[in-house]
Amino acid sequence: MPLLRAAARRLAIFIGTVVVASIVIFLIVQALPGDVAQTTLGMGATADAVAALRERWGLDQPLAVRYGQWLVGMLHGDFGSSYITGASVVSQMAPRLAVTGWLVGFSVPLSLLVAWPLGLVAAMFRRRWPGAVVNALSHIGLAIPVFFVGTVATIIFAVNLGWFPANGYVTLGTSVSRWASHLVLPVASIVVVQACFLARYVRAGFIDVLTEDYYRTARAVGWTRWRGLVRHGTRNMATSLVTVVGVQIASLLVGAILVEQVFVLPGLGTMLIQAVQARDLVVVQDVVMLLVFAVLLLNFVIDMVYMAIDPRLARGGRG
Amino acid sequence: MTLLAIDDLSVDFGRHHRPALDHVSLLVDAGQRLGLVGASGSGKTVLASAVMGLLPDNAHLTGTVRFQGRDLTRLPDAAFSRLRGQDLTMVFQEPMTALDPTMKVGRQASEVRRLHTRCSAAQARAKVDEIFTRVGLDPVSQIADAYPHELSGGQRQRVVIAMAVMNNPSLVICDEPTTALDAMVQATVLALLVEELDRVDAACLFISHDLDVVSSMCDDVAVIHGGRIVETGGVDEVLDRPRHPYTQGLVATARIDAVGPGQRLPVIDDFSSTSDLVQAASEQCDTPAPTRQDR
Repeated sequence: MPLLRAAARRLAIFIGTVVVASIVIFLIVQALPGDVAQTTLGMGATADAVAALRERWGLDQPLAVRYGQWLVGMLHGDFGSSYITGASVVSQMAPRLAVTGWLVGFSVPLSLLVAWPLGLVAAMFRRRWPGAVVNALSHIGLAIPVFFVGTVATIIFAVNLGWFPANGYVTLGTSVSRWASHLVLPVASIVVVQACFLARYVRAGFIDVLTEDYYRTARAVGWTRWRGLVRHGTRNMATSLVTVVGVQIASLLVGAILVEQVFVLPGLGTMLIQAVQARDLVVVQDVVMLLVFAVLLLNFVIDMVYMAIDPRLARGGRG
Repeated sequence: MTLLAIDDLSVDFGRHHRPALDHVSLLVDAGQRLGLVGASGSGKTVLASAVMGLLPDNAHLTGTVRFQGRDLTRLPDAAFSRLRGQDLTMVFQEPMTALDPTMKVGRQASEVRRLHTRCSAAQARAKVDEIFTRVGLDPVSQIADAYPHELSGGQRQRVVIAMAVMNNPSLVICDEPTTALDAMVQATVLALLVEELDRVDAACLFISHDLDVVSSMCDDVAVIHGGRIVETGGVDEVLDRPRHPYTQGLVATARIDAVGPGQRLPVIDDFSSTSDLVQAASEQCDTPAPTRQDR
């Protein structure tokens, strides 16, 4: 089965990359200047007290041992404990991961849902005014940073109209309606910018399809302009879009930080910023590892999606 | 009975280019096989696209194309689309790229049925199986379940032909349907095409640069050069006694066996005695390909 073999190969590459990434992240965090124990206890601490703390945190162990402990711990779901609060990192990370997950999870499908018709119209009418309008809009959308959109949205829809809360977050378990209302503006802000960005790729993909022989065939057998493009263009256009969407999700995971700041959402980005400021290196190391893992996992999933969309990749044959 | 009447048709791409078609008039009767021969760039494919209503957006068209009495040039897209694939179909030159790479060929073929006939998916599929069997796609179920890249060029062109004759059209336009295939496959695909055209009793506008193919399959022939029809008539008459210098050249250059050892092969220019013809031909070559679109 060539499909299974290809998938297994991608999986092996994925695992290898994750291991290499973990080593790099670990070494970088270790190489940061300053001794955590010394910093924690303050300048006046005795050498004995510092040494005792280093021993308690396991900082006196050789690098390889500490890396091994970190890696094995993570595999068991134990990401270590914060130097500052002593709380387990997992218990802090889980609720924040959920916030970032909701943000990205809603934004990406909605962006695609908006970008698809925009790109379709822009491609079909590329020589006429509707195409020009969509094109101009998507350029404007690209030029506006997401935090600006978020701020303007807050002023209009939260402060002036009072439709949605301006900031903060309520968990899904507490109240579904309040959870949803807190997510509307952050998600909408991301979607506005993302949809503009993606619409350009959707447009380019559909324009390619318009010049393809199979689109001419579709027209020749009786598809109208629009229905033929939707029917025989969408899947072909999607093959060129998958990579872009993957990169976008990855950058959103990290970039959601801006939106989290604007709307005071307790997401991963906020957690990372706080940890860096407090020099809570265990937390920094874990959050970065989690983000890198998510991005690598995403690339792996994208490869799989590629195979699902484009049969030429999954099923071998004469070119 | 006249099926297709092209009258004074001109097509150009933008104001500053020479017309790709220059006041072309052509008649195709019901059941007639009309060959259209000419060199590349002579306007053959533009003519086919104009009849099918599939010219690129930047094309500018004047004149009329009457099909079954209706002027196609004034037909809105929705009405035209009901005609395409039903009464008026096309077989393209390039079987490698003519099919959607992301859809199984059986499904693409059954679409052609369902677009024009009210029928269930199962009925459409049964029709596809029937036609696929007829055009020699064997084993049918395996081929219907294949993606285009899993088929050979000959198999793909059989699929395209199956799609073209699926709904018993009255006119099939073939744009160099065998040019992209190797010689062995060419002969069988051509035989299949003739068989299918006979079966559905369709007229055919057969575009080619291959005089042998045209003389074996067509009743009549039209010669196009520089966007103009320069000669029309019965196949035997035109090919045996060509009157226009361009046709004379075309016929002579196709007869390699008439050239003795050591003799120079004839080229078209040997016969284009009138200088304006040479001029027209060279200018035609300078015209950029019009199909590429901006983004």
